[in-house]
Amino acid sequence: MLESHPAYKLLTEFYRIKPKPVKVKSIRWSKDIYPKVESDIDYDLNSMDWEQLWSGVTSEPGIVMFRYHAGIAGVLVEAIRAFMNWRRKNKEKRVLVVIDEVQEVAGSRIFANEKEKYYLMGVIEEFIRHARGLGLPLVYSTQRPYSISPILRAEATYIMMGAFKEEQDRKALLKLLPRHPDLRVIENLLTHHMITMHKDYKWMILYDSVKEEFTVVKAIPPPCMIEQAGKSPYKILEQHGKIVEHSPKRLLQKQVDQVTTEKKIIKVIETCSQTE
Amino acid sequence: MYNQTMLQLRLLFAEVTRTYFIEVEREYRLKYEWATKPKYLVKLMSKAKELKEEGKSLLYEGKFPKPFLEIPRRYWGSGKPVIHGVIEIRQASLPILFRDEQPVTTLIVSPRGGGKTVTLTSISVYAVDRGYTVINFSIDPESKLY
Repeated sequence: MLESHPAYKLLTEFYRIKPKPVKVKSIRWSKDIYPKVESDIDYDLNSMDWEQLWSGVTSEPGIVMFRYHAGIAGVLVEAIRAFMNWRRKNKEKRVLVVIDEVQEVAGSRIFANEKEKYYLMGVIEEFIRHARGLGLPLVYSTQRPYSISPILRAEATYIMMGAFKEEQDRKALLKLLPRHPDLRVIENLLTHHMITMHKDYKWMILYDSVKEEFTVVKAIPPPCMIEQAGKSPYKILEQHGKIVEHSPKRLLQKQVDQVTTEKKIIKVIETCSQTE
Repeated sequence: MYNQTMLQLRLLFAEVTRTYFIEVEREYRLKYEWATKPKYLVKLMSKAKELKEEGKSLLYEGKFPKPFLEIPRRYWGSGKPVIHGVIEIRQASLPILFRDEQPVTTLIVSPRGGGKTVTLTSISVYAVDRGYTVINFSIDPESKLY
């Protein structure tokens, strides 16, 4: 589909899918905010109130971007664990979790420390395993079919596949699928990598593990993306929403301020009682 | 085979009538012409203008209907994707977030540039429109520079 095509814009007028603001909050741990994080992976975040953070960001509908980078694997582990604990107490909240490039997250070149890498991978797998129990719809994506762990495959209700150009990737992809009468058809279809790569197709083969059937789907870009075709989706979403930066430094500062004011109040009360 | 001209897609509404649009409200059915036929585009544009002038309320407002369109089996069932002619696409009837009161887990495996992020964003916007908070764990693009 040519998103840049004038007719496509007209389509939005037909359907009246007007681009409306999508609130995007961004939680970013950058090098500038925490210069120590790079060298100190086990950063002490005991004073960080994660529950407060998760309650805060899920108070209204919107997209919360949780961005992280090399050297903060410890923070991510903390964040995921805290999120799971928070979710156990707040199952009624409407939350969807999206993990983009799950293999990159769970273990890859960005983590220099092997021990750290496997630890994080374990936590992410645990999270995916418990998602159903926590009542959490979950979407995770990867571009490396040969490195998908069996847990990621086993927990999936839907597997959406693109056609890979390399035979090695296609073989790995087919290994993810169970025996099925349609497997031959899918195998043939996967050799036409254009169905995924060409902008006019962008098809994806969807395997429904409940119904045990294959379908071919095409994602409808959200209205805000239709308007600005070719740009990074996250950037567009940010442009359309209000960006609120939640930095741990600021949150910690808030907590410190709160504690100091509480202490001050206690002191005042104490002095008052003494004078009486 | 995959000729650029052949694949240049033109949007086509075959039945550009009000009845069709009302029907589409539920079905979200689209038709595409896979050939270079500008007449369809002209037809579509004139119809759009006409309806706009009439001030007719067409379809759905507000919520993003569904994140996927379904390509019927007849266009790919042979193992070879259709490369010319008209294809009919309808809104996928798959439950996206919950299925039989159980949360849905979706794994997307696709090469770089294959539409993974678009799909994730579509699902996210679909969820946001239904009152969900989407927590997106992703790598900081700046971090890739290190």
